[in-house]
Amino acid sequence: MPDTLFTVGAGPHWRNKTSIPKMNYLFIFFLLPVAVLGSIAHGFGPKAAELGATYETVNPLVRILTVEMGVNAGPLWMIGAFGTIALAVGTAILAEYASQIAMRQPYRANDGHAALMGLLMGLLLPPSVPWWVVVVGVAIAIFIGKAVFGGLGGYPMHPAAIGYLILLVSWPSYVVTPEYGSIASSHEVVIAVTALGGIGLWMTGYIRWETPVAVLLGTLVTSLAFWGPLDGQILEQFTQGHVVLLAVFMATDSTCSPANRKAMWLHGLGIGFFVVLIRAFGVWPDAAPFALVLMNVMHPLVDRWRPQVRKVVA
Amino acid sequence: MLQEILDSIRETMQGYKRPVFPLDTEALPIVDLARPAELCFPRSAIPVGGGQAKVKAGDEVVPGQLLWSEGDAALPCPVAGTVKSVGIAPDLRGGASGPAICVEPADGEIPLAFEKLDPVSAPVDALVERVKAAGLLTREPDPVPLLRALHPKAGLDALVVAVIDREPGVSSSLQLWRENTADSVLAAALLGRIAGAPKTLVAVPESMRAAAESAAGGKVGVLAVPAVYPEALPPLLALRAGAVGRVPVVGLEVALDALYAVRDGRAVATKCLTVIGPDREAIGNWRVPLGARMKHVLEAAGLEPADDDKIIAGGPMRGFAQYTVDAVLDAGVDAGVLIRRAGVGPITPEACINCGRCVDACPLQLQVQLLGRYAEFGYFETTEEYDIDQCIECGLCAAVCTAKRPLVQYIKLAKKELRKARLERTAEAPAPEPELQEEAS
Repeated sequence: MPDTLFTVGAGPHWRNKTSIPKMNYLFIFFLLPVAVLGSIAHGFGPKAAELGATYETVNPLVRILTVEMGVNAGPLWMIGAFGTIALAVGTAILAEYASQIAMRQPYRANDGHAALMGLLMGLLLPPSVPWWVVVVGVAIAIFIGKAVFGGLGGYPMHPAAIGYLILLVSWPSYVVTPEYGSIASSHEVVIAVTALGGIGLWMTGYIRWETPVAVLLGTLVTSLAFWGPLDGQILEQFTQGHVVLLAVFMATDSTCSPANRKAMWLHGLGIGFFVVLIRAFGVWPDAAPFALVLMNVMHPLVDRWRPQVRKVVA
Repeated sequence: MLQEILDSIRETMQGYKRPVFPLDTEALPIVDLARPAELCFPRSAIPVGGGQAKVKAGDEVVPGQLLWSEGDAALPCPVAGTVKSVGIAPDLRGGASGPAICVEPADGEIPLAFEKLDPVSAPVDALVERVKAAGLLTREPDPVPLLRALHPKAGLDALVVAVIDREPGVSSSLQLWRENTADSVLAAALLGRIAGAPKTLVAVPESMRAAAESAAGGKVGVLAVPAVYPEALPPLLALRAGAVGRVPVVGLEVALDALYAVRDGRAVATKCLTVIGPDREAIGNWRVPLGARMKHVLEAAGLEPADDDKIIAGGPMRGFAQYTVDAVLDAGVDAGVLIRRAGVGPITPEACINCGRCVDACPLQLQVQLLGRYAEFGYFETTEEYDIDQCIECGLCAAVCTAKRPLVQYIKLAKKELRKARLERTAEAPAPEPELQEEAS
């Protein structure tokens, strides 16, 4: 015993076993059914011929290849739902690694956060998106959305939303395809599974219920104010676009959302409100990421609405 | 390897659970620990930290004879014996090693240190003198002389004698009450008399309210406390009992020591503590001679610490990790904890991810995530705006932190820097900074 070397460290000595990687991998775990079902809803492989036909109007190379030379250029161009997700995740991890090398930071791309951001990016995009758009978008999400702000814990806006929005304003015709919704919003079942994933996350304790409920409630109340209770538009607010995915998996991202439960209500209701407002008056069909980013940057302000401190010292 | 992966998956799927640390413990009889052949009395046992040794090697000492004294703090010798040496002992609270007096106790019964007094009829002045002579300290992680604690500057509304143990898994104080209920009531009433408190309350777990009320018999009041950490920490007990800053809180064992010093003329010679094993199980309660070392207690509990384990003097939430089993136990320690290598929670310098677990866990509803970040980056002034002074350092925030940040240390650092800045501002010329014994690593 005299030569035993003990571990020293400050209290508390009983700590729970949560960790950042566990949190991220749980998010990924509950997103996987969404990814699988979304891919199935679109068909795993690229529907090359159809998609190629869609894009002959927008891309000169594809147009030349498919229309004038009679070659099916679809597979060169787009990789289908499953490929999009896989590419997004892989790119995200590599981009995270590259950014940490570039910034001389310790390598921690294995904490699952980059993979989660890539997965969310992939789900937000339609399966018909060209592969290089995926790569560019995810790289932007990781570098500009996350790394330049100091990485996990530092970014003021959700990186996946930033990546998606930059793609949306840069290549709207690739990102918004009325015929093919995004992977996450392809089918009502997929959206239901997303909501179930939220319940799972809540039961494992890694998200608080306030934020998702507030986002959905905010969307519902605001759309009721716009269209009245019987309008079919009300249901469409949830079944089209990414409101549910955003409420459950993105608005709950802790780094860019409030820490106080009261403030979570304000944050969530604000997102729901802006979703409907932008959809009703804006030019973009899916406003959810805009609303998210808008409330994200306000979260320190919202977080000022905090509970009263109990005074134990005069 | 596969097992590790499976364990990791299982742990991950368990997700985050808010920890609940109950305080109403099972009865565990207190066992007397045999007196070791050498007792050690470090200077750091008295809070002031200065002072010269009052004895030298070879001196014969008797109970009650001062070993160390400084200002209103004193450490009387609890046993009769011979001073073997004045050497060096590790600091229990993470400070630098300091001088210590080693005494070889004489065999046989410990002679009485003082004349006996009647706790009910003796004049208060005599009682105060006796408490001073017995060198009683409050048994907090940072102890102060009992008389100073009993007379707060702001005035006195009530006195709380804490029967409930402060930290999870610890049962020494409740067990003392169970085994000496009549004495405990008497002791609480005695301290109330010494302090001149308008009312004296014993703080017990809610489940024991009725039993405590019948035992108290109107001599002292009963304060029922929810039996969950950190409700029994002194600031929260004081808050429950009355006005902030006007209610001193004293542990039951100190009150009993005062009673025995007054009624039986005995110097404080023992310390009760609970030993908690690696599975967070309470192994037993021991009455340890003051001056014994960590290894004596661990041996008695049948615990064999190995490399990379953590041994803690004090409770599992606020105790201090020790680098050696030779650490000398003093009156401020109410538990000893062993944590095996696998159970040692990591502490990382990761960035805060704002998950808000600390905010949920904080009993005072502080914005811990902001306090931690401001302190981390040196914005100590800003932490004042977020009421850092209210923090009672219970450690629940760090216990639940997703990023495993050292939140309590950040807060202690900020408090220390603020104290320093305040001292500089008021330019109270050479007033030395009180020795800080907070950094355990």
